[in-house]
Amino acid sequence: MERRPGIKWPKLRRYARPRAVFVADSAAGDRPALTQAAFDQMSQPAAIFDHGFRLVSCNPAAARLLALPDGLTQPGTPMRQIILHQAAQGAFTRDDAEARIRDLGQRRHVRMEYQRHDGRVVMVRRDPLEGGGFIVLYNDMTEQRQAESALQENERRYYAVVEDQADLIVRFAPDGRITFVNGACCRFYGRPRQELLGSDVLDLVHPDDRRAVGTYFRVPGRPHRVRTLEHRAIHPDGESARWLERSDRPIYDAADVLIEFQSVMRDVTDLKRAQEQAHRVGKLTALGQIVAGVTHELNQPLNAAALATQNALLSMERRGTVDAGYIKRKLEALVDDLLRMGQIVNHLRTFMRPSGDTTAAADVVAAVRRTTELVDRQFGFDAVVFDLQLPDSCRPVAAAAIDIETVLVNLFTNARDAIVRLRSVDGASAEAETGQGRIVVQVEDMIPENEIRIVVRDNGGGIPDELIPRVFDPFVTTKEVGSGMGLGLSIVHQTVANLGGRLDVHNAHGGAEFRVWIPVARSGS
Amino acid sequence: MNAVERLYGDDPDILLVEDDPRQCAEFEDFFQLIGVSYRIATDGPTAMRFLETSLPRIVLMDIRLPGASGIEVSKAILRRAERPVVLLMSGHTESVFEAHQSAGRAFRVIEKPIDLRVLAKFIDDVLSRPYHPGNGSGDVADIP
Repeated sequence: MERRPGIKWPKLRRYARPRAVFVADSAAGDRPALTQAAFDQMSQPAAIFDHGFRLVSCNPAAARLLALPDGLTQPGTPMRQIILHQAAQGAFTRDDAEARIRDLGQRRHVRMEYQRHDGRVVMVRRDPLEGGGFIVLYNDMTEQRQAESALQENERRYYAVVEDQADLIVRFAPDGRITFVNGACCRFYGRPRQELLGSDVLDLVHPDDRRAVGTYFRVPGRPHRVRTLEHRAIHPDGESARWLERSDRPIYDAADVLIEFQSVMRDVTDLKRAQEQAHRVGKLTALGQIVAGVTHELNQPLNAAALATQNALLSMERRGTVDAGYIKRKLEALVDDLLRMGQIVNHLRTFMRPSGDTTAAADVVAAVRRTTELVDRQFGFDAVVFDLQLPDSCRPVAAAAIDIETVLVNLFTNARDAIVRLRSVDGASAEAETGQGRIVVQVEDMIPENEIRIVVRDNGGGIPDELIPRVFDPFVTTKEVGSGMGLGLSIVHQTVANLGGRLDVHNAHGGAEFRVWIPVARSGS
Repeated sequence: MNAVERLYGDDPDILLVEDDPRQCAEFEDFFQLIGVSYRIATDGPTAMRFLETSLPRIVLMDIRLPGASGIEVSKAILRRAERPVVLLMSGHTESVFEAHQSAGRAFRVIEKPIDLRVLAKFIDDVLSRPYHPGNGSGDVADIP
């Protein structure tokens, strides 16, 4: 056995120096103590055992981590004693310790991890040294394992949050391949997760809406900006399409390359149905206003006719004779009254003819004239007059007349209400209180664009700035509670959208100005 | 002749407030047939100006009028110490029900189209009673 000065080997050699140690000492030349010093200074807890599992050297870091008493750090200490000490510390049971001791010579490489009584987690890695013996590295894994555990807990929480969502969550690659779906998505589509993963995200869209959604995704949007879209989806009940409102966030990597989309979708079918129902009610309310006006118009000649007839009878009764000239005048007046009533009924019939003919072509100028005639007298009672600035004619629009008239009636009613409301505001100017309400209506054929523009402007004080972005939402109103449902402008918006048109609003000339663009009908329609 | 009778010396029996010429013409025929005196105003402000200097026994008035509604004119009349009986004509009485109640049922409402037999009886009832200042409607029966 080689004897060299350097490492402070014990006098009683109860171990064999591994060859690797010998080589290291040799490499240190005349100063092998350097090897020991370097070993002792290592922050990595480590110990070296000879081929008979007797301790050759244990650095202070290992002694501290394993809480080895001095007696167990002495060269020659059998690994068996160290294992038993660890068992005593609660690393494992005594039986386990015995099993490990029996197993010592069976495996060349050992990887194990245990937790002590004090909660610290120690990882042990034992590898053979070249030429015999073993090196054992110990690592305190406590903080790493705690961090991993916290991370796992976070992941579990995150997963639970995502899975428990009522919203449908989908992630998909730029080529449309689905990479993640949550439970709500699987339940909504009635398809297992495995089937959805890897499939095309457009499969989740109603066939009639796929083109629009595909176009929407072709422009991915700016990083981290959420865009929203509504489309239909086929529900597994097969009864009807459901409406989904989706919010999509494009996800880019550090090199600004689009890597994924994250979509959160919500079933808004019931909400849409409720809105449609509200719009139907709102349309009936608008219809009710028209009917009330027409009823009043009808009542005038009706009353005159009734009075004329009764006067004729009363004349005969009071005078005791028949004055033929008087009776003739009464009958002539009666005919005029009846014809006037017939005109009003015909007018109403024209106005209320059903919509739904998608190939219809409506004359906007004629629609403006009809609608203003219908409401002119009613508005006159509120001292509101129309200022029509109309061309002689314009190209017909792709709409049924009732749709244009619905838009106009609601815009006119909104304008009239604003004017009347302005007069009643405390502190309203004398001009506002006594001045005449004016609704300007302009129609312009926007050649060469294929649109007709309708402008409706009032002098009712305008719309509060904070309301302008929401003015076309349902139930938004500046009217007092109970005096309006706030559906008129929402109906205007929906009707214009259905016609493929657009509209905007801004305040101008002491009031609100609504501009509506309706596409002209294709020639031949 | 007492003061009230003097006051009534040149005042018409009826002030008609109606903006529709056809109906005005028929009411004129009717008033002439039943032999009552009348004046006609075609809007609310004109009616109110007329009432500042005259005191008819009855104001027969349409509810929807240019300038001021029949209900507004009625309320102005009710604030006066001496006032006529007010009879409003409406195509739909529901809309005036609330105003009618809030004014202490101080005016009457008759529905269009008007039954002239009912109106004639009402006029006769009012004109046959003595005038009571501040109680224009007096104990006049409701319009059936």
